[in-house]
Amino acid sequence: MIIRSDRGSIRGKNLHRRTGRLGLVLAMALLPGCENLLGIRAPESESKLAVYGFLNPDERVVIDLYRSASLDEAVTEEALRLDDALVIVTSTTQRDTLVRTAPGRYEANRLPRQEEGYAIEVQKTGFDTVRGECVVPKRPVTRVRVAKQGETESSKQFRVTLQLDDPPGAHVYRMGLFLFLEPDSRQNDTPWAAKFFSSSNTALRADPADVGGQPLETNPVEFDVVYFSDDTMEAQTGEFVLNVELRSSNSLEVSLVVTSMDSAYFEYHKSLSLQRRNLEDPFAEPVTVFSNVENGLGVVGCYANQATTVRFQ
Amino acid sequence: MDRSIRWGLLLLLICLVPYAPSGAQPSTVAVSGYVRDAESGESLVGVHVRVSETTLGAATDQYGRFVIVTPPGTLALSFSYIGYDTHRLSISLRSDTLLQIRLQPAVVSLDSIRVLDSQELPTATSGSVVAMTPAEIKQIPMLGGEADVIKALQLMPGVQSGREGSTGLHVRGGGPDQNLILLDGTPIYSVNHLFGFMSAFSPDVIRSVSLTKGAGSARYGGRLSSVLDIALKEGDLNKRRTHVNVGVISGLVTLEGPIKKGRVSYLVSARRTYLDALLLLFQPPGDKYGYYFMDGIGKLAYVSDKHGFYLSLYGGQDRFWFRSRSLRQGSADRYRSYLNWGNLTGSLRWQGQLTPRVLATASLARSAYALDFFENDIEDQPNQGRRYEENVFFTSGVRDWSQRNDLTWYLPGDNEVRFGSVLIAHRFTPSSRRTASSFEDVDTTRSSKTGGIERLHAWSMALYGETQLAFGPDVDMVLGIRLSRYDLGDAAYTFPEPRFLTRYRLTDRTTVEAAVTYASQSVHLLSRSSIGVPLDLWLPATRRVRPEEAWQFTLGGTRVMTQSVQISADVYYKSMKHLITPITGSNLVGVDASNWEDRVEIGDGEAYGMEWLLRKREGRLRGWIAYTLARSTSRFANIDGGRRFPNRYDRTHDVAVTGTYCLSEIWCVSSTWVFATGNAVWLPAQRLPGVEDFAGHVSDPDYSPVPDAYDYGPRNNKREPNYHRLDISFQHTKPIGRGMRTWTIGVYNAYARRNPFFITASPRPDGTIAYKQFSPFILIPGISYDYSF
Repeated sequence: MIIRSDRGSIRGKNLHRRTGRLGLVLAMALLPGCENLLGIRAPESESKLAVYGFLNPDERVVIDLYRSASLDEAVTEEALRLDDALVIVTSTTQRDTLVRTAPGRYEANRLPRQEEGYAIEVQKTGFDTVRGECVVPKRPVTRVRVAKQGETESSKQFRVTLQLDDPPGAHVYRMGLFLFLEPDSRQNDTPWAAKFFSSSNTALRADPADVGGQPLETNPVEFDVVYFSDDTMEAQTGEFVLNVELRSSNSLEVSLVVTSMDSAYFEYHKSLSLQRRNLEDPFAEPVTVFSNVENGLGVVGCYANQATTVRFQ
Repeated sequence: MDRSIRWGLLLLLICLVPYAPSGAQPSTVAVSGYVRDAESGESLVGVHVRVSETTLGAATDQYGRFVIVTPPGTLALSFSYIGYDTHRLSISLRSDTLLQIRLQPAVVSLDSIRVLDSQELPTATSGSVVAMTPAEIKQIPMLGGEADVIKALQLMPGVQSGREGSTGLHVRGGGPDQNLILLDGTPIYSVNHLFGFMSAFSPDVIRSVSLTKGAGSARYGGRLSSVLDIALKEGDLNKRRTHVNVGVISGLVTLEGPIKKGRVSYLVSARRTYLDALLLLFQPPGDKYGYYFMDGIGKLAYVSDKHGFYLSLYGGQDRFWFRSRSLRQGSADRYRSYLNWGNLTGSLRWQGQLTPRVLATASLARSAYALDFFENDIEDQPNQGRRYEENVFFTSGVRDWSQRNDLTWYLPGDNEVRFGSVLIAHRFTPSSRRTASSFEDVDTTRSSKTGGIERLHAWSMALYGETQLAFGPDVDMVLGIRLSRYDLGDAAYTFPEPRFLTRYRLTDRTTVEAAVTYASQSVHLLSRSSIGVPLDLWLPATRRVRPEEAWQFTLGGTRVMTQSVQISADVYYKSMKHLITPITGSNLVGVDASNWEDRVEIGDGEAYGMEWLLRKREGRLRGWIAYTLARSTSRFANIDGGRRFPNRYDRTHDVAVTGTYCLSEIWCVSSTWVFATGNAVWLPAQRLPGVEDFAGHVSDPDYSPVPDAYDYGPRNNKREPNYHRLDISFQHTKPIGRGMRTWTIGVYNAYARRNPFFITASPRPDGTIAYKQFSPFILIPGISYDYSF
């Protein structure tokens, strides 16, 4: 079975994509048969350290370390991983040197704590020393209710109501429904679908919605998420309603995950998604991927999840 | 009172002081009048009026008017204009005299040789001002054979195009929004059709075109880089005429004639593309799309011996639409959308002589530009009893009402004073988005609406004063000040804008000049893309996003080689501040009036260069050679760490050679060759894993897709290959019936140079990047048919 959450409705389908569709039609009309490969070299630049650390209270500190490569250099992702580096994580209470556990991967045997700041420093011969930091947010407080709305021969309808308590200050959240499937259980049909709706006091901003990206075909799980800010529910309780239709006689357990994240985590994922979208769009300005790593690339971002198991039967 | 206002008013008074004691001197008389085409009665713009054996002279203004103040006596006047026979007149002046001059269109004699006489040498025109006639524009070979005003100007020095084939106008390193484009005196915001490949006006309805590089006279303001003054035809005062033009892309019909002979005329013109009919041939199954543009012009003119009233209307619209329908698994999906953009302008103007020495004009105008996007998306599942519908409407635009008055007071010895006022009420719709969605199923109906149209109202006011002083026969100076005021809510700005120009006549043939100008601009153009796709938003200056400002310094020289040949050279330096650009990755369509200021970076710009122009405007061979050596850069605090970077269209070398050679009175061949340094492009520089933290919220240890991400390095870090091409066209003109027809057949990019229209970076499976170049404009034939009767 495959879960697919429909990203339409109140969030609005992304207008940019629609204008992009118009642009595509225009390009199809204007540019047939006028493409040729160009023999120019990539702009000259130096390789940099790329650090990726996504810190949350549920997992040990893990840092992935890579180097960037020239665009003329045919190397695999594995070949870009860097060993023999000194990776240090520092918080207000503790300083640890991370241990290499796999090629390019360094881990510390500690769980990050909510509302605590962490700095990651990486030293590697031949590169500038790089540094990035973030503060782990507080785990979001949520309440979930499920109510059966109706039933026909072939399907059952549910309404899922999620209440989210927004603490004072600017926050960005992500919400998603997830189900783990066996890789060989993929089917072409869609057994059930969900539509996101929000209450009138909660607006989902258009830009964060861009970050959801397309369902990943290589992933055994197909999923979709929404990103939203707390602009319209500042320090209040926001309410979201999901209408779920189950087209299976079996019961189903899914995980409803709400994530609170720092701005670096959000900006990085957003810019990465935009870069991919714009890379081969000739009329779009290129997008640089956000980085908060001094002298290097990548991101050190913090987040905290609140997961609730929801059962439909 | 604001200090800057006090300074401005003081300078305004200084402009008038030299004349205060003199007043109207009784020892002089004024000879004034109108210069018109002898056949059509159309007023002629830029006719050189010279007083023989003196250095006195004038050029006719937009209404064909001139005034010369001189001591009484016998006066020998000559009136010369490109394409017309020179008219000479000797009159005995005892009192103020009003003349009505009719210039006869020249009968082309290709082999005539004119004797160079220093008294008949035309006045050297500044290299910073480019004038073109419709006939010159129509002889230049163009893409698809469609004559185009803006593209003709792009062949002049200091003027650069945007992407190939586009009507972008980048003057001395400025942006396309920094040009004050006046159509019969009314500012126009967007001047392109066909996604920027054609300009909004056909040369067939144009009387004159003049481009002033820089802020120019204090009479003009509100833009930093240039003033493009386009005067529409007034309509034939004597005879009904019909003009038909059929090209590859569009067709045009123009009707003109007298309503009351010699006094009242009309002109009506309509143009439309037939691209939508062609696109119907390439529709994929299930999808339908189309595009068309159209524009129309209407004008009524009333002229008397001393006055004129003019009503001008212009409307232009582009529309792109898309519809699709699909059926799958019991679900019927329908999608339709359209994108409209266009201008609608109108003006009512009066011009007249208040006294024999004072000319005045007054106008009331409306100018509006709008961009609308609409989409409707329906997912219908009748078997399930479900229906989902969503509507999105996006709009952006600007609408101005303006009133302006101009007065010119002519004094003895080529001295004059100009002053006037402008008041503009702006209404901006920066970017508004509305959505409405509904969901119905068996037992539920939900609907929601978001957004609304938010508008901002602003005022622009300006007072200007300008004096032209002659210091003897060889030196003159134009000293002006424009006092501009802009108000939007709690944001208010006042700019005293000095304008200074001095000319020194080294010899009868050679003139040098220096100019310093300062200008402000209270509207910004936020452009998402680099072609003319109209996802460009016109936005007002606010408290946070200040008006743009620029200083420009110019030094130039002009030499008249022969009666029809002139060479000029100019050096310029321009400094601009408060320029805006979208923040990286910003989606402008989602921006609304309340948050667009958060989506822009604010910075400054710098441009400098040298321009040369050798131009021959008469004879069997006509044309010009233009060369520009230039540099233009920008700097934004949050881009590239605040380092200066080259602009997209920063071209070190820019060459245009344009020529028309008439083999006979029937056959002419025209050719254009252009060369330009490749545009600056921003290409990826390094590859790195684009690690995403999807595993973070599903805790799936096996999931680790790592597609690539790219580090771009410094902005505009690479150059496209150099650009060059050759265009050729042949014109065959022949009288047919009661009229004259012209076939124009040509080819664009005749030697098939693969110039980059754009370059994309496309990842290969091995992780390296392939750069792909798209060159759609190769060996493009063009043909047009023109018939006038």
